[in-house]
Amino acid sequence: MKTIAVIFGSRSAEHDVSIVTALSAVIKPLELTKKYNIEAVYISKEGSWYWDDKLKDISLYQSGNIESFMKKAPKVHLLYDNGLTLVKSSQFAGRKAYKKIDVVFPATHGTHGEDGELMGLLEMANVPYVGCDLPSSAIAMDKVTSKVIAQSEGIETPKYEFLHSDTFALKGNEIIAELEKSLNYPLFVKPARLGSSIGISRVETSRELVNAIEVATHYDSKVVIESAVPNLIEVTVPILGNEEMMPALVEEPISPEDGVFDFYTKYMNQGKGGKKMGGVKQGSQGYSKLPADIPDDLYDKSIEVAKKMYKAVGCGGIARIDLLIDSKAKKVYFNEINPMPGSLYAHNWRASGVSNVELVDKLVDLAEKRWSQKQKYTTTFSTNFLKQF
Amino acid sequence: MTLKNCIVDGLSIKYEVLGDSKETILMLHGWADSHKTFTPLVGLKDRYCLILVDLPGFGSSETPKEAWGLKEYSKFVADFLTKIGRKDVYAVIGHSNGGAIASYGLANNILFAKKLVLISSSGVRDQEKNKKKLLKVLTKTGKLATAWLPQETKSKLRNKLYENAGSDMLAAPNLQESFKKIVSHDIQEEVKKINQKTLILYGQEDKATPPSYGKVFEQNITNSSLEVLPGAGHFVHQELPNEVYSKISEFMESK
Amino acid sequence: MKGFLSLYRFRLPSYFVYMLQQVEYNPTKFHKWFLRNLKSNKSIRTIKQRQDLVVTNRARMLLFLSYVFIILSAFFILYISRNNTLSLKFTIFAVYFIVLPYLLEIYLVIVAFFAHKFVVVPQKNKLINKSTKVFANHKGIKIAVIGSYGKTTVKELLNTVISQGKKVAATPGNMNVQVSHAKYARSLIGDEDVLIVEFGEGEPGDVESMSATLKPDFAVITGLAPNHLDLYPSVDSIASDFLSVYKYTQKENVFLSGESELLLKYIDEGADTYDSKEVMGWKISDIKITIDGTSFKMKKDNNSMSISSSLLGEHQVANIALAAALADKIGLSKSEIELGCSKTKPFEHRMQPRFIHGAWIIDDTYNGNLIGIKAGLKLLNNLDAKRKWYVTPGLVDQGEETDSVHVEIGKEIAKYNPDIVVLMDNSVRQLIEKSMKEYGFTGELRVEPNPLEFYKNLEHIVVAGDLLVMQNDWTDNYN
Repeated sequence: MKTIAVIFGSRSAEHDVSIVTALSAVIKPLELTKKYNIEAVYISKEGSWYWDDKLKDISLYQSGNIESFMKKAPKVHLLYDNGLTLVKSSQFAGRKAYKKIDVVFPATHGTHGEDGELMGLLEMANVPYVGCDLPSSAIAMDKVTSKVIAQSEGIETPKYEFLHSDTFALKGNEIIAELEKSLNYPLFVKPARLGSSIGISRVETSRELVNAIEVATHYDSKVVIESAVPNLIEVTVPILGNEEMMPALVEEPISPEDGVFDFYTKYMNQGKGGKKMGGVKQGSQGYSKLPADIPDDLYDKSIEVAKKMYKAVGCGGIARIDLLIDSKAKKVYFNEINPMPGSLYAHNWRASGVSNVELVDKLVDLAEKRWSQKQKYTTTFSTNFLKQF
Repeated sequence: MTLKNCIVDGLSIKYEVLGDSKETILMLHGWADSHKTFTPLVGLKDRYCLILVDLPGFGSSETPKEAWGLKEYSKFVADFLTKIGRKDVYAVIGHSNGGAIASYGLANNILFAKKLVLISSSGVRDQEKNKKKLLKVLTKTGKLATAWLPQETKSKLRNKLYENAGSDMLAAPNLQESFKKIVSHDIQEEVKKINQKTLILYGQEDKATPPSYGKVFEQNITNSSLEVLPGAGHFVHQELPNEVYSKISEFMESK
Repeated sequence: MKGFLSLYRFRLPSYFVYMLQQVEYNPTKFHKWFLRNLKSNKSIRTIKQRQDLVVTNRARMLLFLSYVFIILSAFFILYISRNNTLSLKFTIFAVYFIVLPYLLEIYLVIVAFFAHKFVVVPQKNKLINKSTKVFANHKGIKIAVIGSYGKTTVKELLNTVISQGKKVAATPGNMNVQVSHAKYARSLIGDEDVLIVEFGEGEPGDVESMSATLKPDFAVITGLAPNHLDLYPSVDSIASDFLSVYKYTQKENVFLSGESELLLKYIDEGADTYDSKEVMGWKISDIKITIDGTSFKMKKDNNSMSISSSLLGEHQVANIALAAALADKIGLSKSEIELGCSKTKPFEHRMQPRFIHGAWIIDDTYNGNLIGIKAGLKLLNNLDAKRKWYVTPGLVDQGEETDSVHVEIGKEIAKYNPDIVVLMDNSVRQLIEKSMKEYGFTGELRVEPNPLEFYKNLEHIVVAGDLLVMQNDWTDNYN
């Protein structure tokens, strides 16, 4: 049986969301395939790594017993030896437990994981892993870089500017004036590389803009300021695959009145409020219309734009592309791309005819295919350089 | 409704501003609670501008990096008000620990207001001393005595012990140090310096902060009046929303 | 090894007492379970996964006696080994510790035996005498519900429908043994218009004794199946026990399910049967079944009723119609009956539809017989879906019939040929699998090791547009 390590948690604002993704949408269904042996690898908020079967139980985190677990549990060593091996000291007489890993399933969200850092580690180990690779993850996580890529592919994005916290601290007033010259209110202010909707504000006055930039720079040194799309319909398209792409349903999240998807409505408000409104379903991340209630031409265009973006960024395995639609002008703008959608967006896949179990199984398969393809390419050369030296 | 966001003392803080009057009422929630606790009182927004804030460590605000006591919390409140440009407050309403923060801040001229409402306020500690001692002993010996039990039974048992010791510690495990700091701070003497007109509300059945604390506050705050509401516990404003609401709005209107 | 080690748990007595409770303190059944458990070498912890011990006075007493036994025996061992050397003492104690679970089991069998003989049985007789008196003095109409399956459903249907116009007291839950009847009799106030009593069959003579106690004005026999063959010597003896109700109830007031082929073999000419075509002279037509429920029309002479219920399945038509017809017989109006029927709802785990993530799950895990399996598969076949699943662990308690019943199940599955069939990895799996394939099943077969685990994780397995019927749970004592 193949051994899959599921890595989750990490130093991220979405640490808790990652636990839910890993435990409910990845580990459980992977176990249900009965094809793999699953090792749970948890990265704490402080950045320590743990590896234990106990980490598969959600109640460990809910009860707060994770604290006492971490005090006692040995930390993990990673052994890079033609692949990846987990090592920890076992409880018996200082002997070490080893586990060779066949495939890694990264299930982290946001910083220090989904942003490509973890993928870099796995590339170095030359172990197959699920989802987007290092460059695509890094591009996807940066709202500015991904917009640049979109533009180069001829995909429209809302008008935007970006700034660094240092420059803002130095010449704040100047920057505000410049922003107000090039962009029109209402504006959205976002930390450029955070992933979740934390730190995002919608502003209409310069006073609010200043405060919003201050809030955004609290989370990231790079901040993006963009114009709001009028007549807005937000949609999101999960896509599965490497070269061959399979989109799920176009989904329309239902956001609170002012249009920003707040972290707490996105993740915390499950089960509250409107039950079965016509066509409205509760997904893993709040409420949404599934499929989106938009005209066919916009629906098709959304899928087209999403696929184009997925390819342009070089995603693999899975990703979710968020789009902004101007319903009057019939324009589809690229908003952002999420390399690891919360809970894999299993609710959407399920509605598209892919069960959670099939989904994770397919992802592992895609990871292995990508890896074996990569093995064909030569990366080392024997030279006589050293001898000549 | 999305909360407003700002950065105070390096922490991301979420808050809500309701109503557009010039007279501002600041509302401070209790330990392990959030601004939402005051939902039954938001009717006051027709007459006043209400500021409801999630204190650091609670609701959707960030947690302070070191242990905070009443001093740090009340200083934070002052900074927060400055940040959002509402330094001048007409009244402060504090529930439980929020009451202790408000009292401490006003008594030490960290906060400024014309009126104060204390709902089931904490801050009187001497009667808790025994409990606290018990708690300390339990946390230390509890671990030893229960070491041989299976994990589930252990945590159940421990929760029960804490419960009996009246600890709120479990409710916010990441704030244990702040909690210890706060519960060891008695403000009985300090509140004598409060000269604001003060309304003190307690629930007759309150076990966490019994009405006897209210008596202490009433005796020590010159211009204060205590009302003990029968049939209510620690969350008086939620259990008897109409009564608490009318008592507070009457108090706000009074000269 | 796991099973063996699991016996050395501090809470072992509570597991034993739980099992005793499950087998109603019957020492033979308890001992059989213990032997089976030893043989299968399963951890004893697996038995309490579904429910926990209900702490009754009896259970408390048994727990107390178990611990007293453990303590006293330990002291006894210490006492008899007092003069030995330390190492011998230690050895004796170790041996004692190893055999302790078995000693405890034997001890509990003995305690249960005496308790059964000197407490349970005499108490039961006293209670029966009392309830006979209560029922005799009660002026309400008495309805008995008898049968190998479907009793609780029919009882609840009658209760819901008749309650529209009369004051009804029905036996609660599936408390259908005489002791619980006595409790029920005590709870009656006296002003009830109708009493509905469910008769459970436990051993030969049970139904007859209950009939003698209640003396029903009306009786319904919902069907006959070879259940409880571990307690009844044969199907014949079950049938004759059921039909003994004729001794206490007028012939024209006993209604028998005409859909139970086995039952039809035992009944006389002129017996009044009911089925989905005709019930007590009412002709049934226009049957419609959807995921939302069942509807049909009933006609008799110049009267007609339009019945609808959210109960699922063709097999429920006869039951709903029976409740309607019997309600009519005891004087309810047409509108009361129609309203009453519309209020009937699926019961927990009985053809109960659930909608999860775009898929329909029909939970029929309380079913325990072949008739129900046929009905479930038929329902699966009649409803529309993108993909159809059928899930069953097979049937427990089939005695000698085990082989033939499971061959029949396989045949039935093959007949409707669902897209995916899920079987549980247990003793009857191969029987079903072989028969399924023999009769031409062409869909996908999956085998799951743990039913509970499978039920819990359905959300990960289904997709939108699926329809899944799951039947027959595999209870703790049959693992």
